[in-house]
Order: sequence, then structure tokens, then C-alpha cells
Amino acid sequence: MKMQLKGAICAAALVVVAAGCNNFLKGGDLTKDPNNPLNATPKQLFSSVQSNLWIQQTSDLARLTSMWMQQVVGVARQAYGTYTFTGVTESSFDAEFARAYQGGGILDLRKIDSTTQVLGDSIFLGISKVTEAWLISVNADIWGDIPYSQADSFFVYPQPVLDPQQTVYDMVETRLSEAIAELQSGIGSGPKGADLVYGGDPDKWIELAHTLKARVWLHQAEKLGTPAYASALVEAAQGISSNDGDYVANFSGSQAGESNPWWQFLDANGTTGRNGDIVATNSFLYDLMSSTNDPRFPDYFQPGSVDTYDFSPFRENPTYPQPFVTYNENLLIQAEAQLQTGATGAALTSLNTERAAWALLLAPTKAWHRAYTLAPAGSATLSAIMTEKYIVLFQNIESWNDYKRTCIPALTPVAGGVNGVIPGRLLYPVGERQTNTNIPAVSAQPPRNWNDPNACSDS
Amino acid sequence: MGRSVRSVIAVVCALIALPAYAVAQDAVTITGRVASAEGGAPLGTASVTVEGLGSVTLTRDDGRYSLVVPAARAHGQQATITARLIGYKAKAATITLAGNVTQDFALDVNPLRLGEIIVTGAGTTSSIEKLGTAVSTVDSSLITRSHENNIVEALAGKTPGVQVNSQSGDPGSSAYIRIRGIKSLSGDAQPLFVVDGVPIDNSVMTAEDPTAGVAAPNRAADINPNDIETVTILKGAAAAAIYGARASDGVVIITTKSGHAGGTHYSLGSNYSFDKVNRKVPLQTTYAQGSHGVNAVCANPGCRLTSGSYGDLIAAGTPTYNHFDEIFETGHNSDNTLSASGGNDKTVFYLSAGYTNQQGVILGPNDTYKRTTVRLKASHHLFDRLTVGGNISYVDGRGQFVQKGSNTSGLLLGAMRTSPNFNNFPYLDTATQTQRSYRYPQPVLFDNLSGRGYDNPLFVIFGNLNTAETNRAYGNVNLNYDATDWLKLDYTLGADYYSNQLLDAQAQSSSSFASGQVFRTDGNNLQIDHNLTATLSHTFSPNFSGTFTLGQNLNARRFRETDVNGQNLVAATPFNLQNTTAWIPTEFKSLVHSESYFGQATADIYNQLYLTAALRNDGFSTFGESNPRAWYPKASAAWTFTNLLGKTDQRGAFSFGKLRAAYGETGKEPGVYATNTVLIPGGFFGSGFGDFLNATQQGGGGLFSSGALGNPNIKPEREKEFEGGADLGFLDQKVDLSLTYYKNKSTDVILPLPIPLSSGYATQLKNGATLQNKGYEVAMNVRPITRPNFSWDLGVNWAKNTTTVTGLSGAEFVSNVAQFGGTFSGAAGAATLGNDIGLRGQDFVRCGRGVVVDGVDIDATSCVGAAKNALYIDASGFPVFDPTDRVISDPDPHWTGSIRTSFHISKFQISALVDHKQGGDIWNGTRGALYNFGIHKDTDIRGGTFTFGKDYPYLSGPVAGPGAGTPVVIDQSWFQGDGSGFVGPSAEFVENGTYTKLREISVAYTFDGKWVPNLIGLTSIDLRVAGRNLATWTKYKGIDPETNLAGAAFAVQGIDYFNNPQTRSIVISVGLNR
Repeated sequence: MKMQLKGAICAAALVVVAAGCNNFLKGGDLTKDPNNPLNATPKQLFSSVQSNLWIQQTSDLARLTSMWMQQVVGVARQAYGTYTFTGVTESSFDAEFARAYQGGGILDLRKIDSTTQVLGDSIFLGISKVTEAWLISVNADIWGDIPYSQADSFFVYPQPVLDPQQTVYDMVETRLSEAIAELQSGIGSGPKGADLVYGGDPDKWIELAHTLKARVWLHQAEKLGTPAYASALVEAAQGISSNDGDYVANFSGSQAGESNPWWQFLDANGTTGRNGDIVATNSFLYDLMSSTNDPRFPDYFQPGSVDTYDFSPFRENPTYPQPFVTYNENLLIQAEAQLQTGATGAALTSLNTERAAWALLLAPTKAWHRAYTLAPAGSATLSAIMTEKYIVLFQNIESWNDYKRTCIPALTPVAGGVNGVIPGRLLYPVGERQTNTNIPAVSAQPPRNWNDPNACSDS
Repeated sequence: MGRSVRSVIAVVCALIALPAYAVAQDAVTITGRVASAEGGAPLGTASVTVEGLGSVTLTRDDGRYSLVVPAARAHGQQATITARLIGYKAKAATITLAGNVTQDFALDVNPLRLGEIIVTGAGTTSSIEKLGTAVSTVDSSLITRSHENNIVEALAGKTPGVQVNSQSGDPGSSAYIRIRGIKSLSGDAQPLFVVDGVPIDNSVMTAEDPTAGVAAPNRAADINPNDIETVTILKGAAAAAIYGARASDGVVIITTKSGHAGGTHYSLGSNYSFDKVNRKVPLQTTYAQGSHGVNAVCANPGCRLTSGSYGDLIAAGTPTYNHFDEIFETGHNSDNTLSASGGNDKTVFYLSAGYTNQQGVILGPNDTYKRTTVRLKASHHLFDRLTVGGNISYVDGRGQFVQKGSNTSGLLLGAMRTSPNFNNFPYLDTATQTQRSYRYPQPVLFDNLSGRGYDNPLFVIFGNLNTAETNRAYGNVNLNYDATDWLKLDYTLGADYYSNQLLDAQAQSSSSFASGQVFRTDGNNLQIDHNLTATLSHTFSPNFSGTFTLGQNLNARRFRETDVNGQNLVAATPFNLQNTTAWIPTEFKSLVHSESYFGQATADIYNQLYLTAALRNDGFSTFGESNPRAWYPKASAAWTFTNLLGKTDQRGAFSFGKLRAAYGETGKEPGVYATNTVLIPGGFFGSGFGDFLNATQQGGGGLFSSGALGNPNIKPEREKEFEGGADLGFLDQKVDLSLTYYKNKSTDVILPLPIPLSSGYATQLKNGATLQNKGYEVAMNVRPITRPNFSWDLGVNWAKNTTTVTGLSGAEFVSNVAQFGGTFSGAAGAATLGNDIGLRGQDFVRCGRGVVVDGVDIDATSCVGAAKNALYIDASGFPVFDPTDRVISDPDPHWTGSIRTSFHISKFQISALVDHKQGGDIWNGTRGALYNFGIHKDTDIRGGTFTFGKDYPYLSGPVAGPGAGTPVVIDQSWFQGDGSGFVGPSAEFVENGTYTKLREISVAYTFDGKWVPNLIGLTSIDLRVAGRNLATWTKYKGIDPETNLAGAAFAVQGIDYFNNPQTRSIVISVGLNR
């Protein structure tokens, strides 16, 4: 009996020892993923945001707008479907819609915000806000009413509501104003070298913020009229003041993932296997520049070039520095705004300053064009300004916004367009519609956005 | 670690409990003979035990035994001596332990194995008679007779409700096991494997995507099947609840062989097999390489030729080649296991060494798998009431493999696409010594860095190197302490460790990566399991007794894997990382702990009603913070109603009857780190068209948030199952029948639920899906003849399971969940609401689906009066592609069945197993692709005129539409258009995978005449000739329908895309016993 008791005591002791390990189920590699970082510095997040912004500006959306603006021609596979509109469905642009919100977008920018606020780094905070405004404004341009005020707060707003497009634009203007105030304070160190475009220079970011503000005012001009042009003019006057302030993505080209995405798609052999799907041959822009003997033609096109698709090897290059927002665009914004507010003379000066700027030699990392001497324009008609801008904004998604507002150049929709016109917006992506009850059914979505009530009729 | 401290305490406890030593007397020798009561045939390997003294021995083949009770324990007392053998009723006798005792036994056949004790899990056992759930046990003789190296494959056709699917006939390939349907939407949905009370890993590790790369074994294949005594399968939640959150897919409990007291028993089992490809893909040898009737001609070195064989008729006298046959030869498997077992009344042991060397059916030396196993199992009575035991297995597995599957460097992909008029020999161009292939027949000098389109299959075999090396040790130490007559303590501390080193290398000029590449994977896995149980038993009265078990289980699983893809070989060889110029590394590690407590109570009432109730409480480190623990209850009742009728002798027309009913719940733990939301290092941002930008530009080190939002509240999935049935015996137990019905509801099934993109994330893991499985299982055994020199028995199994996806949190379907469906264009594994789990893809336009063609609703026009799903034929006479994504295939069988029979005629034993799978679709992507290349034999009809719905042979069924009945020319443009698997809808190549298979047939003879011991000193020699998969009857138009591209790596089965074939074998085996 004594022995039995001992046995029972020992059995009990075993259980106690085991149960005593109260850390057995928690802590260390048990509950924390040891394979992936769970925290990041603002600089690490900013590097991703920068890449995400660059791909937003150079990949699917840029190819879409360049094809619809007839700067390039889709001839094969999905590109042909996009070019002729038939291949664009509600499932075509999920990734592009998500870009502004996802990791590398606002989700991570908000993390930068909270950290830099704690650290008191106003410059970094300002740069983060400029980037957020830029990313979300692209979504507002394309989809109109979009989730913004309730976006990126899943645990508070699992189903973000749609903010009206005008509200989003107002918030974008506010965000940019806040950003400018932060940047002007001069406090903090900013991203420095992680910012591959401006090296964290607050003055350049302030200028960029003003040009972006001017852009957003112009986007509302069809609806708001003269006051929008006046506001655009005020902002553009403080905008990018020289080519040194151009926002140009610079690609090292050291590997596929650091190479210009236009080049990756158009030319890279083997990497994507897409070469030949999009060509330059006889696009509207190609014919326009060819017929006017535009000196810049060799920068853009080269008939019978090595790739046989008539793109110029100058731009179709892994290291080509792709311009997103430039001094040239800022001048043309001014020209248009001046013209629309009655300052015709100033408009001509702005237009010709822009044309003269093409003769400038650019710094190697920002050399998005070679030096060409252009004859000054005789008069600053809207057509002259917008045609020049159409040429300048080759491969730039901003050219679609210009077209929607001004209908210049007079494009004939390919294959009859959609109901006779080039579409003014994209359908909300299926990934958002199926998960967010605030998104209307395809049939209930408007054909055009608030800022763009009038379609461009077939010329 | 705390765990080792605990085991030390256990040993110390054991020492404290030292008993006093008894006083010695004379030893007692008991001898006798065990024979069958029906016919009197001697019974070998029966165990004879003196109860309470732990003296056990096994009978020899002549049924004789001899057992010595040491003097220390024999003092003239009465003792019970019992003879037991699986399949027979145990029989006990009372003897007096004094002098020499003779005790013979005549055992009755025990068809339902009533009274036998089986392991029911986590330290609990039960007599079969008392179980409230269906029992499935497979014993060693059935496993041995299957001649499979992989224990999982050996279970095929053995028990109802357990479906086994082998990946291919490649040495070292995996076998997939599923019990009573899919119950989850993540992971591979395979059961937990437990060896001698300790869970072991059964995952599949590959260096590349499992749809390509090479075959890899499921890790349970490391077990030498010859070491296995029995396999018990806990099929449903009602049986497996005692394993809690790891048992949702059932539990396979393996008990290994033990030694028995008595003389040392030696046995040497040797098998040698001749393996051949069992089914081939028919290829045409009529038309040459070319296009639209024009032959492809290589004008100059460096020419690139068309991939198709749509050239002119091959002129008579021109040699043609069968590119399927030429790469296969006869394979061999030699398997040897030597074992020694025995012991005395205090110590018993089982020691074995096994060596399996499989040379596969693919030409050349690079298709092999070798497994060496060593196993020792021993136990020792330290003291009267304390037994210590231990067992350890060491496994060394190593193989060389050939690339397969969806892979331009895969064996059959290149081989079967090659035009019949191209000679693949020699695979190196004589002038340049670089790879020549049918699309690049004359390589130019020094061109060793460009792809060949598809690789020459001989280059795939001889030019590449793919190896695996596994080292594994698993085993346990255990203590059994009979503290009192009513309290028993069991402790087991087990471990399972393996390291796996994989190398896949594609040489320079490989079409999948022309500059050559190397994949290196180093993985290791460690699992430690601690299990402590205390069992109390008490007999309250002859009519009421019960047991109560309490247990604790602690488990730790640690996994590490490092993968490096080295790209661009500098020199042609060696295939290692330093010989490459760019490296893509990936590392993964994980650690999971669980802490569980369980209790089980049983009650035996009037020896006819048996009640069991159990409860387990699990805490896992993978559970979310708000759900740290989960409860799993079960309850069952078994009622032997024939006992109530007074029929306890199991005689008569209706000789036995038992009803059983059970309910239980099990779970499935969430994937590791599902609670975390992480940042992605080394990531990129891309479009859908291949262009992308790395998060890190110019060395800047970018990190961004993953699109997968973690769920801090994730909890385990839950399976609730009701099971009911009956076990019946008839005609003096010459016929027995087991019937089972079950219904299983899976709730809280984890799925990555899409959430609004504007939230910043794409998905969140949620407990959001529900599934249902229900089915029937029938097992029947008949023994029409049971004479001493002639007996015949017959067993039939039948099972049917239906899986239905009943809820997906609002989604219509979920596809390609991680490690679940695989990604395959046009045929993606998916769970669709209201359907079984299967493949989704496209089909032709068919009636009754609401399809609109060119603005016309065909159901309102052309399809009026047509059969549902009639093929719509447009005005051109051809069917029309329907781009709608829909369910195209259900890979799960409608039912499965098997028939097993054996005859004993004197010393001959003849046995056979026929296995049948009814239904279960397979997507024959191979055929679809071969139409495109004009290689499949079916494309011989090119140029002919056919009418869809009438005489076009490869699309059957009714047709409708404006072009119905219009004859059309079937030519290259059809076979490379909608008639191919590349362009046409994938549903076109979904085939019925019904098969009937002669899995096993064998003739065995036992030599045990006097000359055997006299001449060579052995007790007996077994000789067997067996056939494995000798015949397969199926309408499937490809290789064996028992196949799956990714093997056991994915839960969704039924994909055939240039899979390597299965084999059939003749096996000769010799067993020497002493």
C-alpha cells in the first residue's frame, strides 16, 4: 500500500511539472512568425512605397492610357483586347486599384506617418503625405467615387464607403497642403538616400506638391470652370521650377526588377515574352510627330529599329529614366490655366518656355529627353498647348485626364470605342465589388466620373 | 528543456517504487500445442501468456510452444494461461504452477475479432467487441502480401472508407491517403500517423513546385512495412476525438512488431520484383514532324523546327520511333529484411534490418530509391510491476530521380511531344557534343546555353541530376507501472527527427532554364511527444465494471527548411551552388507546441452493453489569443444484443449481433503563424504581365505589408461526426457483416476570405467555411470452406462518401488555397459551394446553362427540346468555347470497393485482391496537349470528315444548335484550336477515372517437412510468387488512372499532365524462418 501511494504521488508530480511550464504555448517562435519581419523603419517602408508608385505609373495603367490615347498600339493577345476595349472587364485592374491602398501604398504610408510623428521628423511626414495624395488621386481620376476616408482601417471600417470624387480631391488638396506645411518646417532628416529621386530634398517635394495640387485642380476644371483654373495657376506658379525638380524614376537596370517596366514589357526577351504585343507603328502620336517633322521623333520612335516594333531604343531601355511629373508639365499646366483665365500672352510665354526647355541638357540621372531645339509656337491656342502636352506626356497616365477634359487631340476611337467613345472611367474591380457592399453592381455604375460629365464625341 | 527533466523524474519515481524480491522455488516448464478447433491445423505465431506473470511466448509453425516460469515466481499457485491469435478467439485455461505442465489449446475462428485488444489512441486500448465505432485494422500478413515499399500504398483496398492514390510508379514517389472525404480547405487533408503511441511526420518535401520537379516520398514511407504488426485506422471524429485538434482527417495507428519470450526467432524475408510500365499513352507513327502537311526540314545547323507533327505521311521504309516505349525498361525492386526476436520472461526484443533497393522503370541509372532501416524494440521487467521499454528506428533513404510533369525539362513532356520520325538517339550531337532535340536537331557549335524547346528525354534522364538523401530516427522510451490491481500508469516519451537534403539540377541547354540551374533544399523536422496516462479499473459486480483514464499530452514540432535556387551554371558541372552566378534563397522555420489533457471513462454492463465517453482539452500555440483552448468530446455505445437473447456461444444461423452508435468531435489546428500579419522582405510589385519592380531598388532595402491579414482570433476547425452501425455474424460465424453509416459536419473551416482591397489587404484567414461528408461502409467476410487441408475465404469491402461544400462565407468558390489545389491553368483545384471539391476550368457552350452566344440566348432558341448539357454546335458545324469559369471535374469516386480472397490447399496458399474505384474524374491534360502536337494516336483521323454528336469520336453526347448535323473536316486547325487542351476548354479532357485493378495475386508454399530442419537447420521456408497490379481495367485514355501530378503534396487529386506511369510487377519472395 505504501508503494502504491508513492506511485500515485509521483504520477501527480509529473503532471504538476509539466503543467508548470506556463510559457509552453506562448512566446518566441511559437507565436511570432520568425520568417518575416513584423516591424520596419520608415526608410524601409518608403523604399517599397517608391517602387509601388513607380509601377503604378509605368505598368498596366500606363499601357492602358497610352493605348487608349493612341500613343502606342496593342496588336496581340491581352494588349490587343485592351486596345480595342473588349478585353477590359471588371477583373482587369484589381491590382492597379489595390495599389494605392495596399502594402507599399497608404497602408504602409500610415505606418511611416505614425513613426515619423513620434520621431518628430516633419520632412519625412511631409513626403509621406505627398505620396499618399498622389497615389489616391490616381484612383480618384480613374474610378471617380472611391473609398478613402474609411480605407485602410479594416478593424474599424471593414466595408469602406465610397467618398464622392470631389470629396476625395478636396482631401487630396488638404493632404498636400498639410504636407507642404510639414516640409516647410524643415524639421527632421527625411528619407535621404532612400528617396532615389530627390534624395529627400524638402524644397523639391514642396514644388512637386504644388504641381500635383495644380494637376488635381485641372482635373476638376470641366466641372468647376474658371475657379479651378485660377487655383491651378496659383499652385503651378509655386510648382516645379526647373528640370532639376522633375520627378523622374531612375532605374539601375542591374536586374529585371530594377529595370524600366516599359522596357520589361516591350523589349525584354524571355523575361516576360510580351515583346510584340504592343507596337509604336502608326499610332496617332507616331503619325502626328512624323507628319509635323517633330525633332523629338527620334527620342520616341525609330522605324525598323532592332526590335522591329518602331520604338526608339533611347526610351525603350532598361535604365530609361521615366518622367512622371516635370517642369515641362508644370509650364503647360500654367499655359492652359492662363489661357482659360484669359491671360493669352502669359500662356504663349509659358508654352514657349516649355518648348525652349527641350534644348536644355539634363543631368544624366534625369535625362528623360535629349536636347532638341524647337521652333517657338506662334500662338497659344488650347489645341497648341494640349497637343504639345500630349507629346510631352508620352507613356504618362496623366494624358488620359487631359484628354477627358479637353478632348485634344481629336482621337477617333479604335474599333468604334465603347458606345462610340473612349471610356472615361474603369469599372470598379471585381475583387472590391464582391467584398465591399458599398460598390454598386456593374450595371449601376456610371459611365463617367463626376469630374468628366461630357464625353469627347467622335471627331 | 522541461521535457527531459520530466522523464528523469519518471525514472526516479520508478526507482522509489522498488518492490521486495520474492523467495525462489523451482522453475516450471509449460509445453503444448495450439491448433485450430475447425480441422485441427496447427497455428503458428499464436501467443501464449501466463497471466499476471508477464511470461509470453509464440508458437512455432507446427503450433508447439514451450514456456518457462522462473523459480522466483512459481510457488505452486494457480495461474491462468491464455493462447491468442489474431482472427481466433482467445482461449484460457487454469494450470497449477508446479512441475512440468502440458497445456494444449484448440482455438475457434473469430471472424469479427471479438475480444481482441486494439490500440484506440493516446495510451488507451479497447477490446474490439466493446468499440462503439467501426474498426479497421490491417495486420502484417496483408501488408506483407501487398509487396509495397510504401506503407500507405500497402493500405490500398484493405478497408472501406480509406482511399489510397499513388502518385506514379517512380521509385520513392508518394501515396496519398484520405479517410471519409475531405474535411478541410487547407493543407493536404491526410490523417495523423502514430507509431507505437508517438505521432510521426508524413509530409512531402520537394525542392521545386510539386507539379514539376521530381517525385518525392510521403515521409511515412520511411517505415519498413515488414516491421509492422498491425495498422489500426481511426476513421471518424467519433473514434479519433481522443487526438483532438490533430485528428480531423483521421488517425493511422501503427503498432510495430515486438519480441516474445521463448527461443530466439530468426527470419529472413527476401523479395525480388520485375516491374514494367502497366499502361501507355498511344502515340501515332504515321505523320512526320511538320505543319499543314508540309514536313519540317532542317536546312542548316542551328535550325529551329516546328513543335507539331502535322507533316506529310511518313514514307514507307522510313524508320519511326515509339518515344514512349524507348525510355522505359524492366525495373527491379529487391527488398530484404532480416529480423531476430525473442527474449525471456524478463526481457523481450525485436531487432530488424531492412534494405530496399528499387531500380525504376526509366532507362538508365538515375531512377532509383534505396532505403535502409534498422529497428530495435525491447522491453524489460525492471520489477514485478514496472516495465521499461524502448524502441528506435533509423532510416537512411536516398534516391535519384527524373524530372516529370508540367515542365519543359520533364521526361514525358519532351518524350511524347517528339515527332515519330525523329530519332532521339544519340541525345548529344556527335559534332558539337551538345543536346539535340526534335525542335533543335542540329545544334551549332558552342551553343550550350539556349533552350531546346522541349528537352530530348534521354538528356532529361542522363544529363540532369536530381537526388534526395533522408536520414531519420524515431522511437520512444516508455514505462508501464501497474501500481495496484486497479491503477495502471503509462508514460511514453517519443521523438521523430529527420533531415532531408534535396538537389534538383537542370543542366545547361535545359529548356526550362537554358543557362542551367540548381535547386538545393535542406530541411529538418523534429517532433517530441510526451504522453502520460493513468488508468483506473474496477469491477463493481459481475454485471458492472468500468475504467477511467486520465492523460496528459505535450507535443513540440520544430521544422526548418532552407532553399536556394542557384541560377546560371558557370561550368557544365558540378551541379552545386558555387558553380552558379545568381542565388535566390528562401528560409522557413516553424515551432508548434501543444498541451492537452484528456479523460475517458468506460462501463461494461451485463457483458453486453459497453459505454465509452471521453473528453479532450487542447491548447495549441497556433490557436488565436481569444481562443486559447478547445474541447473535444465523444461518446459511444456498443450493444451485443445477441447476448441478451442468450446467444453467447456465437452458434446458429444468426450467431452474433452488435449495434453501435457514436458521436465525436475533432479539430484541425490553424496553420502556423496564421495570427501574424507580416512584412514581406525581398518582395516585388508586379502587373499580371511579367513586368515588376523589386521593393528594393539600388540596395535600398524595401519592406512592405503582406496582403494577407492575420487573424488574432483564429481557432481550430471542428468536425462533428455521428456514426452508427452493426456488426453481425451468421451461420456459426462463417459469415460476418459490418455496416456503418456516418455523417460528418466540418465547421469553422479555415479559408483565406477575400476582403475589400481598399482595406489595404486582399485576404484574411477566417473560420468561415462549412463542409459535409456522409457515407456508408460495408465489410463482409465469408468462409465457405474451413477444412484442415482446404479452406477458402472471401472478403468484400464497399464504401461510398459524398462531400458537399455547404458554406464559404458568401463566396461562390475558393480556389488554389495554399498546398491544397495546386495552380494549373484551366484546371485549378477549388471548393465550390454546393459541390464536391474538384477542379474548375472552362467547357464548351452547352444547353441549359443560360449561355448567350452572339447575343442569342441559346436556351430559348437552339436548345429548345435538346437534352440538358447538349453540346451547342454553331453554324460552322463546330462547338463553341465558353469562357465561363465553372466546375469541370469531381475527382472523388462515387464509390470504392474491393474483393479479397484466399485459398489454403494443404501447404499452398493462393490469394488475390481486386480493387475497384467507381467514378472520380481525371483531367487528362496529357491527351489535350498531345492533340495540339499531333502526336496522340487519336490525331490519326486528321483530314477526315466527321459530324459532332454523330461520329466525331472524342466528344460524345447529344448536340443542338444551328450547325448540328453539319459534317466538318477535322484537321490540324481543330486539333490546335478548340480541339486541343492548349486552346480548347479543359473540360474536353476530363475523363472518368473508373478502374478495376488486380492489385495482388499470389501463390505461396510453405516447406516445413523434416528435411528442412535436418538439412539446413531452419524451421520453415516460405516461397511466394506474387503479381502486383497485374491487370488494370479502365476506359481512361492515358496512363494508369491511379495517378496524380503533385502526388500527396496537394489535397485535390485527379490531375494528369505528363505524369510518370505506374508499374505492374511480378514479385518472387522467399522467407526463411528459424
